[in-house]
Amino acid sequence: MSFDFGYIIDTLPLLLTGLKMTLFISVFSILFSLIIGMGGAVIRTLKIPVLSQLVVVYVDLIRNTPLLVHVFFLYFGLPAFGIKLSAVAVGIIALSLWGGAFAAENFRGGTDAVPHALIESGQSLGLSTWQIVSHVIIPLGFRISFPAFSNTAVSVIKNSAYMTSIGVAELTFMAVDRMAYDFKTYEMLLTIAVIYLILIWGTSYLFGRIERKLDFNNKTKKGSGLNGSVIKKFGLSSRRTD
Amino acid sequence: MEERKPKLSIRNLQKQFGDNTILRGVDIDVYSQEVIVIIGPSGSGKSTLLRCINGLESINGGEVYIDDCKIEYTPSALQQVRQRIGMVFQSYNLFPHLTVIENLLLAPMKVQKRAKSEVLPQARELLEQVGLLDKADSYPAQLSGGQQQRVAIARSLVMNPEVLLFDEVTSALDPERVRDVLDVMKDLASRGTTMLIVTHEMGFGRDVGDRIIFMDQGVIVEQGPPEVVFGNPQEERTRQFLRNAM
Repeated sequence: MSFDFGYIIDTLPLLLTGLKMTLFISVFSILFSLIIGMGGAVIRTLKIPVLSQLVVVYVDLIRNTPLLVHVFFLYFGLPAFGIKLSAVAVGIIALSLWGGAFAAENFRGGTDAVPHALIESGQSLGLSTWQIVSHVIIPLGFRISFPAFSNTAVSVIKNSAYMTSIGVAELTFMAVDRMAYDFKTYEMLLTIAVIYLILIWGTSYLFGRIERKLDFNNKTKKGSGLNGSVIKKFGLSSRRTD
Repeated sequence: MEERKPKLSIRNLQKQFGDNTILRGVDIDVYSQEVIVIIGPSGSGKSTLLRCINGLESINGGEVYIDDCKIEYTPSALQQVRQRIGMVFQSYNLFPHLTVIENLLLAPMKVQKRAKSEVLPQARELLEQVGLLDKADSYPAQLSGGQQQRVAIARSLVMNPEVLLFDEVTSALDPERVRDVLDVMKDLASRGTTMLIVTHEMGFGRDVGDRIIFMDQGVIVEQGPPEVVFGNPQEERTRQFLRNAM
């Protein structure tokens, strides 16, 4: 069996249009995951009644059911209720809900790790609950949980391939579509695997850069990650009874 | 002579954690420009008393008045009160993601809605006063414990509080750094700042306090001028504590 390089070169422009769609869906889905995740984490950390329980139900529902089922439900199920969405819209919504549920768990780890003493210190300065959330809990929690969130973001990109199933013209769809015509199966699959790999590596690199930028402890001590040191340094017990 | 009105009045303050009674009716009047030093063994309720005054702990009985105005323990009322009563903690609690100067600017700008152009000169002046103007753009993690605590004091002062509460602010510091922080507090006392200081530094308390309060098991056992409480305590419990503490 021979490997047809010429074929790959010929179909590359087509695959790159698919890559564009993959990027389009992924960027928006990661952005919305971030917003949903942060919102969910803050609601749970503040233990806001009703909303907090709703977040738990949402996270549990999404995390314990297959993404493909969400996609099919939004695409084939919702029209029964008179809601017809385009395939691209379904892709972004499904991936955002999926990523948001995981991000909510990621960020909750971070917002929970914000030492209670810092919240009290905000209170003692007269900051309102919302000001404490926006100036202390979110910026600190975000930094602490950013590495975990970057894993979720990478998964969102990989899971965009599921959108092939509803005909979104993203990278995997383009490859599979060509395979049906030209039967160059392993050329196509190997090529998109390499493209995904480069995309994911690039994303990981980008997130790593952001992570280092966010790490205020790194500005002094080389290699001291924020996660351990910030908690050690500021996590002194705050509840004292003497 | 006109009768002086207290700046802060604590009346029959009571606090329980579950079945554990921490404060059993504490009464204190704090007058403007007065420095009160509260001493006592661990578990005597000193820190809880401070935390109740600015509402970090709810109270189970009694009242606190500031300028004859009763403090209501509702979120919005407490927000107002906390602008008038500053607090400095044992563990500094600076915001680690903000630089020193940003730590100072946050509350005046967000809570008091003051303009940056107005707060910044004051913040810099306060940093100079605590000897850390050159650290304005550093992050807390780049400072020693003593330096962080001095920043925390400046952060409270920039709100222009009428009363400052100090909760064992030198207990987490290594001995060499304690002096720097105590010097800043002495300086504040000499400027007429009204302060309520919980401390284990007996020598410092004696130097700086206008009045010493000795607490044990949630009540005030004895209070008076430093020369009396330290020099000639009237209660056996005070004598016993001071014998062990000094």
